[in-house]
Amino acid sequence: MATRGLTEVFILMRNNALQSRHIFSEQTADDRMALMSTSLDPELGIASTRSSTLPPDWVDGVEEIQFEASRIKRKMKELSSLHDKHLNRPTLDDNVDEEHAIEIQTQEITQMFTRCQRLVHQISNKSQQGTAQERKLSINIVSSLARMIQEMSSNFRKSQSTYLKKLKNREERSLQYFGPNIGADAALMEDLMGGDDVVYDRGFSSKQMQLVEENTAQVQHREKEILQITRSIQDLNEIFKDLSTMIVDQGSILDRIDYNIEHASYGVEKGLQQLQKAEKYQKKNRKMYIVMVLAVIIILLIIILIATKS
Amino acid sequence: MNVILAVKQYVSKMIEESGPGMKVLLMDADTTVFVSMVYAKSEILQKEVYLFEKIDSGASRESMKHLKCITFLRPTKENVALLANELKAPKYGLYYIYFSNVISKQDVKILAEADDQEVVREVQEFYGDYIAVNPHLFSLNISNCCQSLRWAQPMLSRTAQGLTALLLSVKKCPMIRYQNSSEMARELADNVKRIITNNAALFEFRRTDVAPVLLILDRRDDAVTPLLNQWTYEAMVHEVLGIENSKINLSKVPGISKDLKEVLLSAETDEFYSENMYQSFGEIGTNIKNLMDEFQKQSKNHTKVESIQDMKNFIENYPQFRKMSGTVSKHVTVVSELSRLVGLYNLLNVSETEQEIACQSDHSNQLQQIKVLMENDKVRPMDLLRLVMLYALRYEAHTNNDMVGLIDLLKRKGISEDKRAMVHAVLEYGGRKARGSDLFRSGDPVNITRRILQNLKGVENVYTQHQPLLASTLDQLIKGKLKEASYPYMGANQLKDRPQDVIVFIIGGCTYAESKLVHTLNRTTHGVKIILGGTTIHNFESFLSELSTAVKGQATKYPARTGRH
Repeated sequence: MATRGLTEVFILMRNNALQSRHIFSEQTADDRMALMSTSLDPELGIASTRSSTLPPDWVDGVEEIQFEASRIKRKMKELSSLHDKHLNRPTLDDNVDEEHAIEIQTQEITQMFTRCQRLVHQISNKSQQGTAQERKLSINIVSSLARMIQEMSSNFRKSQSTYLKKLKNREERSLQYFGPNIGADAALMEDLMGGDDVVYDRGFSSKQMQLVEENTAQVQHREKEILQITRSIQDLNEIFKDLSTMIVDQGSILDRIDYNIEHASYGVEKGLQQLQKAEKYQKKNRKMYIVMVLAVIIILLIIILIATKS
Repeated sequence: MNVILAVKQYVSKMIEESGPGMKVLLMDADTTVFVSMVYAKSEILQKEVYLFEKIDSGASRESMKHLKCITFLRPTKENVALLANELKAPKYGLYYIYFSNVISKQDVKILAEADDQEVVREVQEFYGDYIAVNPHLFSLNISNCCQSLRWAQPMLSRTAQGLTALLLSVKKCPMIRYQNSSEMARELADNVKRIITNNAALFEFRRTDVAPVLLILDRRDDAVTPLLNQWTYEAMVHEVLGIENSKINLSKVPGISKDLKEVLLSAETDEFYSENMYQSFGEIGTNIKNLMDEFQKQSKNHTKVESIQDMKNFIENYPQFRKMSGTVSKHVTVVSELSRLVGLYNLLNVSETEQEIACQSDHSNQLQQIKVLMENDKVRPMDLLRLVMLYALRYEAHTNNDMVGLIDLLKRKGISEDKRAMVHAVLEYGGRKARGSDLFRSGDPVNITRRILQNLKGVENVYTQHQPLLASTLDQLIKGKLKEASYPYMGANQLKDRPQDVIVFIIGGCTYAESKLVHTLNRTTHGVKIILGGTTIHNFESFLSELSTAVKGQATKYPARTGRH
């Protein structure tokens, strides 16, 4: 991959050219020269350039999305390390804090995804008013942003579902290990319920009470956790479906650069044809106008005729 | 030594150098194709290149100062003038200018003087000046480079430029060998050599133990290969449907859906194609069936979306599923169209006869076969012409040569005068006098014994008997046995060892059959890498047009315009 840089040569030549033009213009400048060249109407110039030099306002949205995307990436990394920690290094104390942190992170990421999606929609809506080329630009931008978000969201979903799977596995395993324990609980429960009237006075010992409560609390907690994750997955699915309409398939003819350029010029031609058609219609409209005028004149004349007769 | 990668790296580097921010890529008609062959739109969009424009569409482009402009142009006079105009009234914020070949100092000066507003940040030469078709195959898309059996001057300089750009892009400063029997090959070799010596500083690369070799050949030495029907996927698609810069036009297929009127066959993005492009037609059939089965299995999975688990799985695999469904529908359409045409035009019978003519030497039997095919109404007139041309080349000096009779038969089949003239044209272009090597290998004792052995064993596949002449040429070159008398060196240096890096260029165009050959050689021969290139890539149709310009204005040595009486 050999290359050759000509930038230095170019800049040297450019400076030379500018210099020689300077000298040349100084020589011809005299008192009668206007301060500004008359060929360019200054007011007109500014007025005409302002609209074109300022970027369309949706450009900020693009930067925002890119920033958001980098944040999402960072968050996702954090989350996956949290997941790891939670799964692989269980501490003895009930790791509610950790779970809570995971929950918050997950929610935040999901929110950020929704925000990104909203921004993408905003861009595509705002750019509708722009010129043809701005629209082309924005379509390309939207499609690339959508692809990026979609890739990220699918990664996120994958990590979520593996986490979910592992969580379930762990639960099953724990069921296996502590199965008898729970069985004992159940037996205890049955014992308590069934043997209610037999050994009435035994009642729940406070210890047993605690055990049962703890168990149900744990089960509920797990369920909540799983529900949370599935909900976040569902949210993401919606985003995914929404964005997939904006993305061009890889490997299809639409994904070729030259095809797009040719197609654009074809589109321009078609536009011209449409314009010509519209012009024709406009002309037809003029005919209509004349017909109307003539009709009015006829009515007027009839009125005059009636007036003169009577 | 991967040409696709080479051009891709150039484009990536351009994009990198302009830094972050929204960019527009400004190209000319040629560079648009160069870039399109290596970069998909979705891929380049990810690098913040959001707009693609042509330099000659100046008026319709709007001013967008918030964009950075990367221009990638061939250094032609028109492009320089257009770019100078652009720089006088810049539409974009900053300009990064890249030329695909060596540009003269005067042209740089014109641009420098046009750049009053100092918007240009970079000016560089990036030598991606060719169409990278496959990793080992490039083309220059120059059709009809040979006029009156000589170089047309602009084509010669364009070819030399393209070839030197290729050398620069893969960083090789080769020894040049050319085909002695061809004046065009000598001229091109001379031109390339001159460019290398003029830009000696550019061509200073780290020396390898064994110098690379550039071998320049002439299509005239092997006019048979582009006349044959091919049966490997890529070559067959080109022969039957026509590939143009990896795109094929299917709009003539009856009952085609709107999405498939034009499809892309690119080994870079299409896994199935990259795995099957060199497979024979029969194998494609079974592979596509496997693909279908797999697809059906997947789509069955997707039809039942009941639980959340199903939904999750569906969404997870959805992008792959969509991509797969696109691939499946594309290839099924292409293959079914191929098999429809094969049946419709009786291509199997035609091809069998073609291969017999090219590889066997049973004159009377083959003549009989051609005459039988002439009677068959299903066979296209074009294929009959193909057969007669092959026959003419093969039995040019045979005592019982019945060209007159065959041309007469062609006339009766209603083939026009200028098409019939092609039979003489092909003799003029690639006949005995034009050839420098033994195309039909009749004299070589090794080949005679091999043929006898083959006759005893029976042929494995009657449709793929023919090997392009390039096979034996490359074989000799790799073994270091290529005769210096027939393929002399340009310049004093000579290669003593066996070559490792070989670049073969065929003036007058190469074929996909030769591309397949090089692909297999690259895979089977250890330590040797070959790149194949041509002024264009031929099928029969494009070869006919090449022929007709090549012999135009040439006083024919075959006075018997026998078709006429």
